[in-house]
Amino acid sequence: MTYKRLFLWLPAFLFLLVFFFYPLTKIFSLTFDFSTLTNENNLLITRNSLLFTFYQATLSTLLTFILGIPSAILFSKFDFRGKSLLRAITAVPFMLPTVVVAAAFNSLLGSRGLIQTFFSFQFQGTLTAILIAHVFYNTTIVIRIVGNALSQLDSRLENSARVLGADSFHTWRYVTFPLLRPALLASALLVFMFNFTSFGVILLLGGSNFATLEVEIYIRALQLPNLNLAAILSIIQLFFTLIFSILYTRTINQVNTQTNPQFSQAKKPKTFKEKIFVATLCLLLSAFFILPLISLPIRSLTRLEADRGQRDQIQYGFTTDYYQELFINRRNSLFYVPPFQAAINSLSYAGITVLFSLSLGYPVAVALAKPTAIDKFLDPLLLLPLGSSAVMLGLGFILSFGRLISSPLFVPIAHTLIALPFVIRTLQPAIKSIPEKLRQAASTLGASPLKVWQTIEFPILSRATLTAATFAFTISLGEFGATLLINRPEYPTIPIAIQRFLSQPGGLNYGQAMAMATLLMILTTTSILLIEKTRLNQSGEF
Amino acid sequence: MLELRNISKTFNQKNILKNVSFKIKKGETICLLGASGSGKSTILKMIAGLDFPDGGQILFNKIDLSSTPPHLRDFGLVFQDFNLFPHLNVFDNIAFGLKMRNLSEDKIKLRVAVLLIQIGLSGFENRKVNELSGGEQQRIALARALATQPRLLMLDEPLGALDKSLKDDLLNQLRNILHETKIPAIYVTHDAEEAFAIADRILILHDGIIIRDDTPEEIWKNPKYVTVAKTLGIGNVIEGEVIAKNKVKTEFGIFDINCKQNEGEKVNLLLTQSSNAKDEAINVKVEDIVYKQNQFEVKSRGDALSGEAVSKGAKFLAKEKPKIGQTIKVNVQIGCLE
Repeated sequence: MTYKRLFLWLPAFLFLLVFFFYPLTKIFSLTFDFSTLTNENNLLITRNSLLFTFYQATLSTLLTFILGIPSAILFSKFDFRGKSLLRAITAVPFMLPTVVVAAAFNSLLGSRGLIQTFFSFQFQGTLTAILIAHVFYNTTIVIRIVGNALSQLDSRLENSARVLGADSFHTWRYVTFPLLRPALLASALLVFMFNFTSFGVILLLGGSNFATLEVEIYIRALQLPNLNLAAILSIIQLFFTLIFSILYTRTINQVNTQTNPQFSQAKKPKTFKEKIFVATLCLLLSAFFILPLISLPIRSLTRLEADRGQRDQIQYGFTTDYYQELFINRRNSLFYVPPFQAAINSLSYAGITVLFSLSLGYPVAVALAKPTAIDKFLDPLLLLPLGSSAVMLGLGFILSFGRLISSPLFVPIAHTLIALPFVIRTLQPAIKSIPEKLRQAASTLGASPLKVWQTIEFPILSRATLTAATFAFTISLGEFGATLLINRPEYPTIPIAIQRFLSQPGGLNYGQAMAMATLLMILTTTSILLIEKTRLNQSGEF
Repeated sequence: MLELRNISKTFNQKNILKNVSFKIKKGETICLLGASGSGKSTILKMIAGLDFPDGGQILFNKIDLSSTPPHLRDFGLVFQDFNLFPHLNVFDNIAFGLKMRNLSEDKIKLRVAVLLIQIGLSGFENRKVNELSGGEQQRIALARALATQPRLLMLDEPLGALDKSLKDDLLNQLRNILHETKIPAIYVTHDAEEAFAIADRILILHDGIIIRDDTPEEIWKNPKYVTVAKTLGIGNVIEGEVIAKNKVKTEFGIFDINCKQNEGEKVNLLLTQSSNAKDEAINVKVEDIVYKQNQFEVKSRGDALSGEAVSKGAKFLAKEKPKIGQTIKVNVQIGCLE
């Protein structure tokens, strides 16, 4: 039996061994290099990037809370028309690829953005841009964790405190706040962790001047090669993310045990103050979350050629040029292939990722559906790639496979490493939900093992499999960090193409970036909707 | 001390309270009895200042409370499901109100210790509240409310979440504490047994108004309304029809009784079993027998009705076990109900 079980683990385990643990040891071995460790310049770079990472992550988290806490109150305490729609909209950014978010803000606020037609200001390359995008991404975390805790908070506890003589401040200070503390802490940790490891947003909106650990690893791996330094930075990064995830797991466990689930206490805003609060916040949230996402497709279809002529001779108008250009292979193009080829590449990579992650993940999910001690021991190993950053995965590939990396197969392999935990986590509960008795009943009724699988397991699992496949597909489509490090110039993916277009001057390049980002946004949003629709009332934190 | 004047409240376009008025005197325990959803808890919330009436006034010592926030009212409130602060231990829960009043630490310690003795849980100071049993939690909740020596104690179905034997124990304890402390109390419940056991006065809330406000003895003697008799489980409510002046026809025969209703109208009568042989005697047919507290509860029917009229039956107690199908004689007192 045990022997059979190990076979279930073998494919995934071998895969991880070769493509994750081996590169990890390569990175580790590079860090034991005294000349790098003692080099003053390296120390300075390490110190600065570490400080800046903490600085921007702290600021981002703070700002996310400033928007997130009132929003959590809004969604948990009040009922208003369009509430579930607004709540869904705030959750969209979290699942969008970083390049799309960066392009979206660029299309609204960037130097060629829609708003810059009316006012002129510096947006790209500022810390503000990074911070705004981080708030855009992570507010939904605060809304979800703190909002849930708030709506589960028994209002009678606060009432008890009031009757016992506590004024509203003391009620908050001694009852509400202590009860919410685990949720506040957990969401703060998660938001901080995401900001700490943020890469695409910082590179695309801030530029390489804003060197966080992650950006610095990328710079030292590709632009100003110093692989030893990149390895050291990776290990520091891994160390911190591991600490944050341990702390997060600990606090999130306390969140649900302290309060009792209850029916919704949300009510319509009644007093003037409440109405103003709800109206203002709804307006603010809609503007903040909808404008960038709408301005992206609009900008991709708009001619705003302010750059060529004089400012006062701007030609406005509708255009499909940017989309048409995607199919043309220009001589001075940034690519050897027509840009649209990037879309085909992305889709093929995504397809291969789905294939890989399903065939590796399915046996593991079967093993985990009825876990033995061995399974429980092996399980966390599979989650490790999640804790390491994408850029680090890329660095590991470069260090381990050298010239072999020219094979385009390495991109979907990297994507599989990232998608595998999600695939397993999606399949496992579905497999677990099939009672053993069902299979036994089918076989006593005369069904062969194949027939059992066909008639029982497949119909039940097809939904979960579709969800898992969509997860893998979406992750692969939007993946930026690892791909940036390992992809070949002649096989660009959509995110890479967007990044290259954005980093080049000229209205046409900019427009094409917008067009590609719009396509990617449509693809991923469709996938998200598909996942939401097929997901069988599964709820968890994240 | 406390007075409610013409309190009304609308909830979801429904008038749950129409014109509620009552008073509580010093040291008195009143019981607010009514079906669930009748607005009992809302009345308590309004007295506590956690909810507001749409009309009417709440006064304490003749002072209108409408502008006093809950934390300055100095009332105690105990909920059905305890609502102890889960992040605080037993000591900090009981001490909460005392700390809000900035008492010195020594005084707080002493007060908590005294209260814990009073509720029979001394030594529980450092226990976590979610490790305690339901009965223990409710006693802590009571101690927490009593700690500040409130001007009024409100109890919202305080024993609703506990099982029967624990209920009786706590009810006695509660009655003793209320007697000792002389704190006026409003006890809200839908359980008639609890109400009769603890109240100096019972107020019955029905359809948004208080239909009875009297001592338990008086209400038991004369429930006056069908709903009161039914909620309190007093006697048997049977249906009848006025067939002539002073004559009411029921399934148990024709009684000489003068009810308000006119000839031909339906009427509800209250049949209370009596041990006085001079009272009206009726013949009933035994249908079913249940052994109950060393007596036999006899489910029976009358057969005085003819035609299509349906017999609803009545229950009586018998010392000796009758046979099913046998006809027995029972003495009853008869009254009209509204």
